[in-house]
Amino acid sequence: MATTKPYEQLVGPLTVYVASVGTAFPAVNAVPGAGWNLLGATKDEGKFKHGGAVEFLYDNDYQGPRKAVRPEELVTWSFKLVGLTLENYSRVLHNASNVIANAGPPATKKLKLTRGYIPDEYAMLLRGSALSPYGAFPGQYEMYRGVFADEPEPTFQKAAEQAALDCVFTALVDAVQAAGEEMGILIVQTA
Amino acid sequence: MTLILDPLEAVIKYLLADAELTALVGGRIAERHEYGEDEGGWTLPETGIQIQLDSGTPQVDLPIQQLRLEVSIFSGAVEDAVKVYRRIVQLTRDTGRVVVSTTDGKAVMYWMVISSAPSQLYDADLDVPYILFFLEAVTAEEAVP
Repeated sequence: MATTKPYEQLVGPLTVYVASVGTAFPAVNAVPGAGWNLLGATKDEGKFKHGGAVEFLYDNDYQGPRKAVRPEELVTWSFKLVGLTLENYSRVLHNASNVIANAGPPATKKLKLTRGYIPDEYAMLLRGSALSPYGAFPGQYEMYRGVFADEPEPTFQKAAEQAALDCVFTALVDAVQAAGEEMGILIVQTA
Repeated sequence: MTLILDPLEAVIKYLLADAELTALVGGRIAERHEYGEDEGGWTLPETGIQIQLDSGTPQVDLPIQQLRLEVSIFSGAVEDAVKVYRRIVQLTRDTGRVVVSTTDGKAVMYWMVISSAPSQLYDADLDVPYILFFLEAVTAEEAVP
């Protein structure tokens, strides 16, 4: 008997797009439009984390915890970027406008290494072509505001592995969003 | 009789559905090559693909088949066999989660990836070199609507 249960298991890497905060997100089955930049080829696993440890409160009357609270929470997306155009490298470090082109000769592009006191904020779209657990449909994670909160160490060597930026994108609260959506949403197509 | 969907059939049907691969092998993809058969068999130097089960990882908890498949590409010319290898590798790059129609129902194939680099070997019976490599394919055991 046919069942949709096989679709409930999700596989496949997610494609990473970034845009300025406030950029409209595409519909889940639409191509990301102007303003969205494909962040380039990624490697190995991408890991989405729903962070925020729960604290348990005890009293003298019972052995077990009486209450649980979550004082802080964090939403992060960790991935390894290997498509290192200076524009993408710059987006992870700070801002794409920090790439300066020069006609030369020789023609060059220059990337400023100073990251600055205030990290640049982005909106991030993680698109999965098979991210829907309800059928053969796409889905996407939407994070409205966040920063690249990491210290990447691109490693250059003869063999074994290409240079990569280990990126950790951390969502910030976007207070203009609807209640419960301030840190982002996961939206999937169902039919 | 209640059986899980045929995982090897799902992979073969998936490859048969690719137009570019069909242009190279003309539908000659099977679990055992058909060269040398008396009627309707394959004839060298035509290119043909033999895909055989080669163990894999048993999935005890979930209704999925995680197969290791031995792929042998026979051809009168090695470069034609390599061309088929190149197309199959391209397919593994393009393949996300797909649905394949099999005899007993539609199977979800979660992924099909290369599991080895290619080797060029020699088949003494057919007197041709052939390209050997391995694929990993994961298919669901239950059919989807």
